[in-house]
Amino acid sequence: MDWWTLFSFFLYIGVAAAGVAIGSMVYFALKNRSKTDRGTTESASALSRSRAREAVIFGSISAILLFALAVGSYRMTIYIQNPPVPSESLTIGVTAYQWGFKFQYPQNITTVGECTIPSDKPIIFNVTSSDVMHNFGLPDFKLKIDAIPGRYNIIWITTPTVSGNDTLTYQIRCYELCGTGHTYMIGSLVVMSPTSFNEWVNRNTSNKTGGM
Amino acid sequence: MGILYLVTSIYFLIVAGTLAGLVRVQLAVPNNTLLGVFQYGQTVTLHGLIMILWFLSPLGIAFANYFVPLQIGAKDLAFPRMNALSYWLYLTSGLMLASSVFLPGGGPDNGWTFYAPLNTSEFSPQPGVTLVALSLGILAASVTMSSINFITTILRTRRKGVTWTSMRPLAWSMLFTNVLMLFAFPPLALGVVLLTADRVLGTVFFSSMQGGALLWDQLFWFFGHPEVYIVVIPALGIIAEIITTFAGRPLFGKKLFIGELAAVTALSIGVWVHHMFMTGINFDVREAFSITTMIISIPFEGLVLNLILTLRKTKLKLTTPMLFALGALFFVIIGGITGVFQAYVVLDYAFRGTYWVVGHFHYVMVGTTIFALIGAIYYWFPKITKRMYNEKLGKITFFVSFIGFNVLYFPYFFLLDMPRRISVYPANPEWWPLNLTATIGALIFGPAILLSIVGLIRYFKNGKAASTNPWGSSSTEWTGEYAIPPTDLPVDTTQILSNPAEETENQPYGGDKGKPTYVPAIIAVGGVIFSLGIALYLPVTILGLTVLLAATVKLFKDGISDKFAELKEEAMETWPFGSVSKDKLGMWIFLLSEIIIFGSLIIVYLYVRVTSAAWPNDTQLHDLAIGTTNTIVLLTSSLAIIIALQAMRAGNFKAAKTGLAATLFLGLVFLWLKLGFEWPNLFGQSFFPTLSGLPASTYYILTGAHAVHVGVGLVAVSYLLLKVQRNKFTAENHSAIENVGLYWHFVDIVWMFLFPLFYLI
Repeated sequence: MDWWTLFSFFLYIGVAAAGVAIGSMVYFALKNRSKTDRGTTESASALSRSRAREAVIFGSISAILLFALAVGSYRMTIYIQNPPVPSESLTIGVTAYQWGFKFQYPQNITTVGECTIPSDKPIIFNVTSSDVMHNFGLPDFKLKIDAIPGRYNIIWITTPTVSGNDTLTYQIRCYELCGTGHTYMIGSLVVMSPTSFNEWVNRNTSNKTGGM
Repeated sequence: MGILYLVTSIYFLIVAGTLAGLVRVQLAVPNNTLLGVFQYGQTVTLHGLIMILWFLSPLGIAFANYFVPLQIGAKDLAFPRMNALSYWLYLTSGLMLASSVFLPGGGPDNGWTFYAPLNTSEFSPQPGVTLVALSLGILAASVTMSSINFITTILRTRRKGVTWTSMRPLAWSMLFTNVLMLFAFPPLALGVVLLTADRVLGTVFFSSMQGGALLWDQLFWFFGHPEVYIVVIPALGIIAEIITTFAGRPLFGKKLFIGELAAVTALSIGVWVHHMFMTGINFDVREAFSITTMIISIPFEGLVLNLILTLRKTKLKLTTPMLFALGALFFVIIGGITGVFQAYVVLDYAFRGTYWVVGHFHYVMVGTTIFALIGAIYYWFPKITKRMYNEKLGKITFFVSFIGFNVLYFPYFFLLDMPRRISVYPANPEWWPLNLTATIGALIFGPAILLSIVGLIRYFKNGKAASTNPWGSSSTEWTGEYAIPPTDLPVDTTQILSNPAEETENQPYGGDKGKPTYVPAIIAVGGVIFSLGIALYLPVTILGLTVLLAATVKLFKDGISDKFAELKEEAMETWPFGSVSKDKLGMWIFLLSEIIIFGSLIIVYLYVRVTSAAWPNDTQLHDLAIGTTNTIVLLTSSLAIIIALQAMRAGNFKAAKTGLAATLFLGLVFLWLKLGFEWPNLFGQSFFPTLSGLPASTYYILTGAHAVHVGVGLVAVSYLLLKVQRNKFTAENHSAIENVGLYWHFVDIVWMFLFPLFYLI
C-alpha cells in the first residue's frame, strides 16, 4: 500500500468526522439563535443528568474509528519495520553535514550532493550526521529519517524501473533546522538503469585510484 | 495582577505577531531577499518562543489571576507576594529574551525547539543563545511558582459552598493546567540549566557523540508536549464558560467534561515521543506512544462533543464572545483531527518537518487558543472595566479574523513537502501560490486581531457603563453567590450584584494588610543581572547576587516582623486537604516540583551512564571516606532540625535555638567538606568536564545542584534562627520551622540517592 492511498483513507474519515462535528455545531448555533430569548425550557435536573451512557457510546465510536485507522495503516507499519535483505540491496551510507549530504558507496566511492542509484533495486540508506541534527528527506517517496550525530538510522526504498539511458531525478531535502544553511540544504537522487549504473560505478572507481 | 498579566501578554502578542508578519512577507514570493537567513532564523525562533511562552500561557494566567479567586470566593491567591514575583520574573525574562537579538552575534536562530547539538557553543557561539536559555529558566521558575500558588489556592482556599462539583469550568481547567505546569516545566528548567552549563562551564551533556542530541530531544519534548496542553486547556475552560452563559443552560455532562479534562491532563504526560518518531529509536517504543496519542484523542474529542451538545435544547445569543468561542471550537475540530493524522507513525514519515505540522499546531494554538482568549476578553470586559465594548465592531473583527485565519493557515495543509524554517523557497508552482495566499491571509488576519484589541482599548475608556451582570450569567464570579451552586440558567441582568470576594481591591502586590512590597521586583532584577553576567561577563554575576542578597535581607526583616502574616482563615471548603495548613500544602507542592526536577536529573545521569561505552567505577573517582562522612553529617543535621521542631512545640526556646544552630553548623560542615576539600582534590587530579567528559559533567552538576539546595536551606535555617532569637515564634505559631524542616529533609533524601550513585557503584 502506498502512502497516498493510506493518507486518502485517513482524509475521508477525517473530513467526514470534521463535517459531522462542524456541521452539527453550525446547525445548532444557527437553529437555536435568538436575539431576544436565552435559556432552556427543560428543567435543570433533566439537563444535568448523568451522561455516562453518551460517554460510553461516543468513546466507543471514536475508539472504533481510531482502531480502523490503525488497521488500515497496519500493512505499511509492517513495511517500515522490515528492511530489505542487505545481500539483495545496495546499502549507501549517508552523512549529513552543515550543509549538504555525502554518500558513501560499498565500492569505496564517495559523492557529495548527488546520489546515483540503480533502478529496480532495494536501496538502504544508512544515515548519520557529522555535526548537528539534520534530516534526510525524500519528499517524492514520502519518506525521511533524522540524521543524528553518533547514531545510524536506516530507511529504504525500492527504485522504479528505468530503461536505457534515461534517468529519474528526485529531490533530497533536509527537514530539520540545522543552522543558517538549512534553507539551501538540498541534494538529488538520480536513478538510472542497472547498466548505466554499472558504467557510472566504473567511471568513479577509476577516478578514485591514484589519489584522494 | 490579572490586569498586569493581560497588558504585558498583549504587548508580547504584538511583538511576536509582528515577527510573524515578517515571516509571511518573506515567504510571500519565491527567492525573496527581504530577510537574510540568519535574520529569518531569529525571527522564527523568537516568534515561536514569545508566542507560546510569553503570550498564550500568560494571557491564560491573567484570566486565572483575575477570575479564579472570584470564582472560588477567595480574596487573592494563597501566596500573594510569590504571585508578584511570578509576574516580575515573567516580564523581565521576556524583555531579556527579546533583547538577545541586540547582543553581539545576535540572538538564537535554532527554532523554539532549540535542538542539540545545534544549541551548544560549538554550533551557536553567540551569547544571545545563552541569554535566551536563561530566560527560559527564569520563566520556568515563574511558572512553577504560579502553579504552586494556584494549586494551593484552589485546593485549600475555596469559600464555603464552592465544592468540587459546583466549581466552575474555568477554575477546574486552571487547576489541571497548573498541575501540568508543575510536571512539565521542571524538565525544561533542567534542560536549560544543563545547556547553560555546557555553554559556560564546558560540560558535555548535549555535545556528546554518545547521545547528546537525543538527550535534549527527550527532555525538551517531555516538557514540550504537556506545554501545548497547558496552552489549550485554559481555552477549553473559557469556551465552556462562554457557551454555558450565552446558551443559558448547563454544560452537557459537566462531570463528564471535568473527567475528560482530567484524562487529557494525565495522558498528556505520556505522549511526548510522538515528536520524535523519526529519530530512529526502538520501533516498539514509538508504536506505544503512537497508541497513547490515539488514546488521548478520545477524551479530547469528548470535550468538543460536550461543548457542541450544550448548544442543543435551548435558545442562545450569538454575541461577540459567543462567536469567538464557537470559532475556537471550529478550529479545535480541524486542528485536533489533523493531529490524529500525525499520531500514526507511518503517516508521520511524510509530515515530519513540513508545513502540515505547522498548519496543525497553528489551528490549535492560534485558532482555538487565541480566539478563546480574545473571546474571554470580550466576555469579561464588562466585569473588569464596568463598561461595554462595541458589539458591532466586535462582530466585524470576528468575521474578518475568522476568514483571514483560514486563508492564512489552511494552505499549509497542502504544503506537504515544504520544509519548515526555510527562509527562501524556489519558484515552485506547487508552493508559491499557496504561500502567497497564506501571506494575503496574514494581511487580513493580523490587522483584524489588532483592530479587535484597539477597539477594546478604546471602549475601555469610552464604553457605555455596564450593569454588574449584563449577560445574566449564574457563574459565581458574576453573582458572588457561593453558598448556592450555580445552575447555569440565566439570571436577571438588571440585578445589582456584589461579589464579597471582591471587597478588597485585588492589589498588584502585598499581603493581606494590603501594603505593597518591592521585594519581588528586586528579586527579578537580581535574577536578570545574574543571567546577563552568565551570558556575557561572569563578574557581573556578583552584582546580581548582591541584589538578591539585598532582597533576601528585606525578606528576612519582613518575615521576622510578621509584616505579611496571614489573618485568621475564614470557613473554607478544604476537602481533602483540610488537615494540612495552607503554607505546608504550598511547601509539599513545591517539593513535588523539586522531586520532578531532581528525578529528571538523576534519570539523565542514569541515561548517560548506561548508554556510554565506558564509565569508570565510582571508587576510582570519588573518595568514599568523605562521601560517607558527609552522609552522616547531613543525616545528623536532619535530626537536629527535628529536635528543634519538637523543642519549639514544647515551648523550649533554648533547645530550639540549639537545634537550629546545630543544623546550620552541620550544613556548613557538609558544604565545606564538599566544596572546600573534595572538589579542590578533584581539580588537582584534573577531573574537569572539559577533560573527563560525562563522568565529570554529571558529578559536578548533580552534586553542585544539591549543594546549591543545601545553601538555600541554610539561608532559610538562619532566618529561623534569627526569628527564634527575637522571640517571634511561639509554641503554637511556628509553622515556618516545620515547613523548612520538610525542605531540609527533602534535600537529605536527594543526597541519599546521590551517595550510592556517585560513591558506591
